[in-house]
Amino acid sequence: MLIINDETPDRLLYPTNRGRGLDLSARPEGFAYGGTADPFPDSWLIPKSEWQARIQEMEERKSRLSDLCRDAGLKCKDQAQTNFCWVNAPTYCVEVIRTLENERPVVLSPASVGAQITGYWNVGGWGKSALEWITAHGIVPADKWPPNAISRQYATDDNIKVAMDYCVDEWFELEPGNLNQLVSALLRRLPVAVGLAWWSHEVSYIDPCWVDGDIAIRFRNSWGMGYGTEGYGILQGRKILPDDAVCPRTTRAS
Amino acid sequence: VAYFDYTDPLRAPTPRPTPQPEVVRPVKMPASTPVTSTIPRWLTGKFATLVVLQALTLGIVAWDHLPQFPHPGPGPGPGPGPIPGPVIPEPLRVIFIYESSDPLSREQNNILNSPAIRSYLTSHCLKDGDLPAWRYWDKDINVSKESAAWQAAWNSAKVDPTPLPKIVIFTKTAMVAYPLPADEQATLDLLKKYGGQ
Repeated sequence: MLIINDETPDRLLYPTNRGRGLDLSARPEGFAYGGTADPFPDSWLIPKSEWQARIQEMEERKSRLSDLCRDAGLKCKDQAQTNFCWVNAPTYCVEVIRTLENERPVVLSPASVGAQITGYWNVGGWGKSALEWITAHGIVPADKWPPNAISRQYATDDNIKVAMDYCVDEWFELEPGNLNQLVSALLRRLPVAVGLAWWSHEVSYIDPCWVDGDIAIRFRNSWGMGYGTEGYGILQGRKILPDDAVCPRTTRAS
Repeated sequence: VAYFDYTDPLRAPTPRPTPQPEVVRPVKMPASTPVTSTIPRWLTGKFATLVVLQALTLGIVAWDHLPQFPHPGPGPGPGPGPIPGPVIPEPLRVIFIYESSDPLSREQNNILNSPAIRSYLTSHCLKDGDLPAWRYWDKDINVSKESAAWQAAWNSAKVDPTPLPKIVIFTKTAMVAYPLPADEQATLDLLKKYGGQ
């Protein structure tokens, strides 16, 4: 398994054939914690003293989100050369939630969200902006809007309409840098789209794990199934902490 | 008294051997109408859920006008309880309903994420197209884009007063609802009671 920590060489973090796209020049409007989504409630926090045992239990029962995704055949995203990591991660989280709910498996198009937000420019952004859009407008399935097509030709009336079948109804916003909230969400099997300023990149956090006697995170990247192990890597240490973190809880039944 | 139709298009119609008298009519009511209990019934050749409202809310049906059916008896929770008589295993339609803004306990989380339960449901539920007919749904989920069968099931499940989180099981002729059992094994046992081994 690919482990990313302070010793990881740059060539693994910044490949030339894949885009990233966190916009470090600007945070999304209204980036106040809990500004537009439900803030993560204190009642959801799980004490640190329980983390290791719960992680072990999830591993033994194979009830991790990564187990669910494997069993369902859910593949990771591939943003190719686009700068839409900040849309790919929330879009993938929506697909995970739909899998949890046992909704019909549908591959969704990150470009259908990112392109409309940016006015069809291949530029960076933040996951929170993407999830706000997805809540209001939904995501077009990839068979109707190719996943990386930043083109107005797909913004048809039919596609705008069908996107509403793939809305998020409820979601949490996590406090930037708050490890307790982050791990508690993951222990409750909520996938979290996390923006990492140090990487200028956004990925989907999937499972908490315990590595070298400390908490670590199994994330799924949007660089195709060839990255790490089937798109997964592990983040350790300070590199875990989010600069932007949002997690969808429920989607529209469809 | 009002009733909601529950007719599952995926199931072949199975007429009940002794049709019951039809003495109630559908009544439209606001979603906020207080409901005190629900009772599965066979009406007009279809399975329906009788919804017992607070008597004074409508005041249109006297208790002695209700059809006299044997009450299924108390189940483990405040839902309608198990259907009377021996349970013949059959393909199921199942909905787990929870409030996504309320934190689930560790065991409840384990139930909703149990590979064993998901696997059982996948192999023992009706097939809705190629998708097994079970869902984990928030109580406020929007099902307007779902099939007519799911919308009918949801309408029946939503008015059931069993507290959340709950499991609602639809067999060929009945809907039963239970609070989420204590653990994974108890949940599997409950499902097997209606869906077989």
